[in-house]
Amino acid sequence: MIQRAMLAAVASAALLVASLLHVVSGEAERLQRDAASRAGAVIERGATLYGLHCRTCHGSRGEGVGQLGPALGDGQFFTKRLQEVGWQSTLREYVVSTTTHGRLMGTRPIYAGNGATAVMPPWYEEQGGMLRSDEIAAIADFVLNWQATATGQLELKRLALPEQNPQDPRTIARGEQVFKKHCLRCHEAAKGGASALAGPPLANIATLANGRREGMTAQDYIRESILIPAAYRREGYAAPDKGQDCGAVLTESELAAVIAFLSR
Amino acid sequence: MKPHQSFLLHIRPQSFAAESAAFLNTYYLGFFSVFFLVLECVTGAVLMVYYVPTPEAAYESIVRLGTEVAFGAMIRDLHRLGGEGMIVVLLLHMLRVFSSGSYRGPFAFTWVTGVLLLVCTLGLAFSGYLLPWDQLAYWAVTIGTSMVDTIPGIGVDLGVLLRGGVEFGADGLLRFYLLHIAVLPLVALLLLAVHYYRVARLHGIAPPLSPRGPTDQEKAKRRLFPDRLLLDLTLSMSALAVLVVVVTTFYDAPLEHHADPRHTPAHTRAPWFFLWLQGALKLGDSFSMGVLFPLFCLLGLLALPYVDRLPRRPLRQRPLALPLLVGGVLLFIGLSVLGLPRYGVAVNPVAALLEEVAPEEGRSALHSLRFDTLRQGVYEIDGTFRAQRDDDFAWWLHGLGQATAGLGAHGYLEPRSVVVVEDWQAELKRITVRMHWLDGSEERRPASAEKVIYLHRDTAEPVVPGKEGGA
Repeated sequence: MIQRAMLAAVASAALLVASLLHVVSGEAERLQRDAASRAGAVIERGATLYGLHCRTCHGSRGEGVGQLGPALGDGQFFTKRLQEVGWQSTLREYVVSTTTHGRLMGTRPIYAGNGATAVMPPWYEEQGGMLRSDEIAAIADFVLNWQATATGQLELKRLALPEQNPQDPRTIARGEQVFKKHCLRCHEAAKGGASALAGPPLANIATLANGRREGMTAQDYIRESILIPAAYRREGYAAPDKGQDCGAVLTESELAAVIAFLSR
Repeated sequence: MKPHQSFLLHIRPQSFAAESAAFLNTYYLGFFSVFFLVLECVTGAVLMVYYVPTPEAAYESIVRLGTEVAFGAMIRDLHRLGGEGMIVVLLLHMLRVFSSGSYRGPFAFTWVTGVLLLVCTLGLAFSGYLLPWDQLAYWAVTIGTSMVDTIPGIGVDLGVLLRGGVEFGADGLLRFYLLHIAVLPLVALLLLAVHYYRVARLHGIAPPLSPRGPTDQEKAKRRLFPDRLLLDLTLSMSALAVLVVVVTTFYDAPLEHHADPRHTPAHTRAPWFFLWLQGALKLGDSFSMGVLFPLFCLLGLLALPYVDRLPRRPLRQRPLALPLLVGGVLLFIGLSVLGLPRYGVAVNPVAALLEEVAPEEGRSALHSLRFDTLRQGVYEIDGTFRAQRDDDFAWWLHGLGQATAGLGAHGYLEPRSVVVVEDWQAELKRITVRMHWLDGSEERRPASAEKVIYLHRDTAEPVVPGKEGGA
């Protein structure tokens, strides 16, 4: 009886040791795999956050947006920027620090297009921004992942997106969605009645815009009005807020769609 | 050293009645409850070395367990699965004691301490649920504690006391941490001491109810040392070995995105042991279903041995017990099923499909495809899409085409999907899934919805060839 119990105890001990040995043998590899997978997931997360918060000024592929924000995905940023500003630490720390604290004043003599100087705002929640430190770290990892393409080690072929036909009802429908999401707060599209809202109604903007400026099509007029809201003002409406960069929040295809919708 | 001088042998009885301690009498459920408690204490102590109870650092410290700490993932998985295992064993233990009627007479107060131990364990599970500070934890516990707010009069103050504010923050996390590592374990150990003292010293384990009475062999005593102790060791080591294999092969403790009070997730689902409560909440208001109903159940369990004072009899001879037992189990299962998200608020089918294709949390089906098969391009697909080449991605597109065509059954006319794959960065692809359809109105106006997902090579899983791959 005792012998059997002893035997069972020894067998279970052997089982336990075997299972633990099995874990030990694979643990180093598991750590490497999980760390790599985690690093990849952080870059994915950073890409999503960049698309939400950064692309409007720095371009969806880090190419920079005109006078709003500098390029982050080019060789200049990866090879010269640190010397330019005299930063002593690493590029990653530079990105994290700039994103966290923003800047007191722009380091580049550029013009935002609406009378204000484009200055990086602070993004860390404790500095008045809206991102946590781990989110800023994820964005930094994503930005740093441009290194290979920026320094020419890797070339990615850009996908040619099909041209959008402004007459296509699907483009117009997409434009309507974009309008509802981004413009409706200030502009009433469906009804003509002006309200207490900041912007004029846009129901018949296509007719209005056509020929309002010499040699300018309705489409170009609308496009410029979206990109620079203060470019043309209609009588009786207040100047748009300085922070109201209507065009800066749209992708190029969203912009084309919303123009198609407004000039239908 | 003689056995009775040893501390260990002192807290345990030196012998057991063979019939009471037999496997078919107890199924060793009490033993396994303690096994899990010890496992939780040991793994929990290890986790405390790495865990940091602040909103800034908690999540990262859990991530670190998986990516930097040797055996960290295993310890965390053991702790998580062990906690759930403990609840299962406790529930079975309670069912066993109820069906054998071993809560009556001298066992009454032991039953009461057992019920309180169950409550304590649920409290430990609930407080521990918050600690990873991910979306899953944050929102489940936020909803769980919001029921406290509905108590008339003191509810709001009680909720603030519990959470350290109107919503969870640094204070609330610290409170739950202290509840989890200090207060509740202390209470549980005290209750266990009383529970075990009564079983071991006062009244023993209730013997099986056998009409013929125990045989001589069954009446025999079995010594603790070495018989029972060897058995305990064998059971513990085997169970641990099984658990180690299970957590390292089949199980990963969930970890969603970092908690974000500003973003309510697509699905908030209670852990399975509280699903019954989530189900009950769908049947009435938060106070009556979220507070009164569980309180009523608890009081019923506590009062059971004092209401039912008849001598012990087999289950067959207790006309009320069987319906109560079956009814209770069915109620638990039924309410839990009702608690599943599928019986929740109806989600619009396009949003549901997009969420399935590109889920907010966890891995998408895209993550399981071979990274290189996702070739850059624009893919327009509908129900007629046929995979041209025999590869993962083509089959995934095929599945998406079928799912898109399925939208037709929900009143979406001419549904089709566009998938855009772009090489975005080194080892990073951007995938846009857009759905187009015509709405049901007379003008048949086109509408669309889209979702973007990024895929990094290192998060993609190794090759899983097969034709099941689909959205």
